Amino acid sequence: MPTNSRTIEILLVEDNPGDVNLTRIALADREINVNLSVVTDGVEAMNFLHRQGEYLHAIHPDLILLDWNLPRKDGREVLIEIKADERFRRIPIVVLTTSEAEEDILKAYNLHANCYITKPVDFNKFVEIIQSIEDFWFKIVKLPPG
Amino acid sequence: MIIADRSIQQIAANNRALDRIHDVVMKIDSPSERIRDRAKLAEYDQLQVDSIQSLEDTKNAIIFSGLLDFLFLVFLYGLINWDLTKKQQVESTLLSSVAEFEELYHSAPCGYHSVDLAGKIIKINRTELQMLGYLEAEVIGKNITDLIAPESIKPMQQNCLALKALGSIHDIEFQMVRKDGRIVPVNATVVSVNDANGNYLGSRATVIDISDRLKSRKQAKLSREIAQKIRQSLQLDEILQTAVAEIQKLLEVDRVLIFRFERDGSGKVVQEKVLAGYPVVMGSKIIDPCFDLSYHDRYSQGRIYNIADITQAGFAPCYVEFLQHFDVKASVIVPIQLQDRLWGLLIVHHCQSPRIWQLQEVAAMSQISTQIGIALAQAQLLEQEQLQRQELARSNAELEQFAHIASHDLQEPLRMVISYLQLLERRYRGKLDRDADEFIDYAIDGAVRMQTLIQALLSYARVSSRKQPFKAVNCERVFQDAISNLYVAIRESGAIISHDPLPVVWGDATQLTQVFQNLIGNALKFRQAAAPKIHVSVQPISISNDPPHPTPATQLTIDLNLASTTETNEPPTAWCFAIADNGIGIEPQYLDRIFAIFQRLHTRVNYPGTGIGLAICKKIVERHGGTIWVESTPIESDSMLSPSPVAQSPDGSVFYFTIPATGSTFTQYANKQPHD
Repeated sequence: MPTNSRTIEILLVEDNPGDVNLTRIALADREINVNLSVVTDGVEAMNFLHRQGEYLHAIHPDLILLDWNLPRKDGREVLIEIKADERFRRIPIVVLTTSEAEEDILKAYNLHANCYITKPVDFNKFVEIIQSIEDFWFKIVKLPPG
Repeated sequence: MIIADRSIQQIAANNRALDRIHDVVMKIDSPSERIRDRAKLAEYDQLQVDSIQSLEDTKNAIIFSGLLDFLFLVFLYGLINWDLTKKQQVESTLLSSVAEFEELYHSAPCGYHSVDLAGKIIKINRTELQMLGYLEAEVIGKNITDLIAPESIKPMQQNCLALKALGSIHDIEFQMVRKDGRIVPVNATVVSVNDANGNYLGSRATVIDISDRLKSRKQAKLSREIAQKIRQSLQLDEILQTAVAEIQKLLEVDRVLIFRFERDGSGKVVQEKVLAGYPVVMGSKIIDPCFDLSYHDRYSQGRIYNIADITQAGFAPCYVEFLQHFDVKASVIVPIQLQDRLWGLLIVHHCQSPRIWQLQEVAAMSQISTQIGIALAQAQLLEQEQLQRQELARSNAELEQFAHIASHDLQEPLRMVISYLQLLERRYRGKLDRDADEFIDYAIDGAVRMQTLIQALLSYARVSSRKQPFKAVNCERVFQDAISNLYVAIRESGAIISHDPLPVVWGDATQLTQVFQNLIGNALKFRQAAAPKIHVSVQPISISNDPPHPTPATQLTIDLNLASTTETNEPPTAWCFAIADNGIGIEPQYLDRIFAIFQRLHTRVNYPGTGIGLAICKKIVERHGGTIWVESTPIESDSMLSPSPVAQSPDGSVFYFTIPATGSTFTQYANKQPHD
């Protein structure tokens, strides 16, 4: 269990700045020390993980919040690539999307997403969910040794 | 005695003459029944019978009169002399007849031959000799089996046994061999020749060359097969391709074309089968200034053109030139009709030489063209059906696409609006002025409502996109599921819900649960101050023709049918479910409107909701082949549709919906013991 002293690294893959901002707001003012890195599409996400291009000094994330519908390389492809890679497959991936489509949900779990969450319309609920994610993965769950 | 001796000599002479006649008769009578000149034949036959008969009589008379007196002998002598004179006349007549019949025998349109006991040919006519390519001397004395194809010999031996047993065999088909070795298929009738005691002496046969008959029989069979092949396909291209290829083989022509007319009367070659070495017509531009438009009308009337030689057909010179450009020397053109309209032309070309077309060849083309027409009509029907199916699939796909857009793309920006309005409210409530707080409230309310509508629309679209295949569904179970889904609302309202025994129907359980849930949910929602009373009942009904629409007029029809079903015990065609409540009811003018999407009769403040529930019910019931309607007017107690006392409360409404019944599900209901 990460201690309060250790900063939790979260990678948010999200193309909507509104959602990025909402996530930031939800994560602020928490006792857990979180460093939120943001990339806006799947290609960037993979570059981040592989420390390529501008992400030369990127930090290995503890958790990935992955939007499903992304420009260039979508969430589905990112999920496949990460789960197929020995180095990254242990990183928990939370698919966070607006889609309620059954096929999207099924697809995500079939591709070994750790969980699938539909973004709620209500702002308060959104904050609640983000904080729940944080609590669950960093307070309850024992993560693999980094 | 002298006289008697002379008489006996005369008798002997007479007998010789008799034998002579016999010989002649033996020689010439054999194929006589086939000779065309039947009148002469009859005359000859009569003559023959008469003369033989009279001579026989004379002979017998002499034998029996041996002891008669002189006078009688003199008389007899005179009689014989008279008779001999007559006989000589007969003989000379016969001789001229013999020559005539010899000629007829040889020039008959069919072959004749006679064989002896051993099967040796003793006589054969010219026609048969020509048919087989022999001279008379080459075959006389030969065994008939030498002229028969090896594979026909065995069956012929069996035929020979039948001939001896029956005296004649008719219309047997076998193969003969020409001198040059070619095979000639023939049809023969063979009659046995016996002596007075019935002993077999030989036979005589009538032989007809049936090469042409077999060819046309084969062609008829082939064209039937072609017709079948053409009809097997429902693809336009395939039909035409099969047609041209098969016709080319059948008629052994050099080119087969299918020409299709356009609406403006012009046209183009759409399919072609052409032998190597001849120019290809398809694809080449046919702007034919010489093509007379009046031809179109004649083809429309079913006119067939049969042209043995295009240079002799009376075509305009430039048209002949046009045809010659494609090496055409002879042609047959048959119109192809598609449902009384001239669709195109079936054309064959002979390029090697002019060709006299056989009647059966033209008939075969005409027959095939009819089949093409039928196949085209079927293909067209299929094409239309496919187009409709594609159109339906496309609109379904569009709807699903829309559902996806609604579920994601529309909600995404809306979520932004709502979330940031809420953030604004959270951070700045009370910090701006009172108006600002109010504006934010309205904005949030509107956005949330829009979000609800999108969700509602999505659930409406899901009736199609998430449908399950039909199974036997126990409505009892469906009802219970709906009740448990509404548990909270039922407990809060204190509603009393009762129901009749419910049948098993053929349907989608999830969707039927939704119907019950929405309708009972509606009854709970639109209630009066008193606790709601809801009763679910069901009646088997018989709907004779089209499924009724939820209009007052059709309701009347259903009432009548319902009554008659109950009286006559006819098997029901549907179940009519009724959900009756004691709620606020619906004003008559809105009875139809409430099933439309997003239609609401009340303010959201009093009765919240999107107005999608009944639209979804309608869509589900219609998917099940049923119909849904509502009645608000209190029902008379004698009405068959009055399911329970609840429905007779002064207010309230009754929702009806039908689900088609199948025989098996009805039986299950009928055997069930009511428990209410």
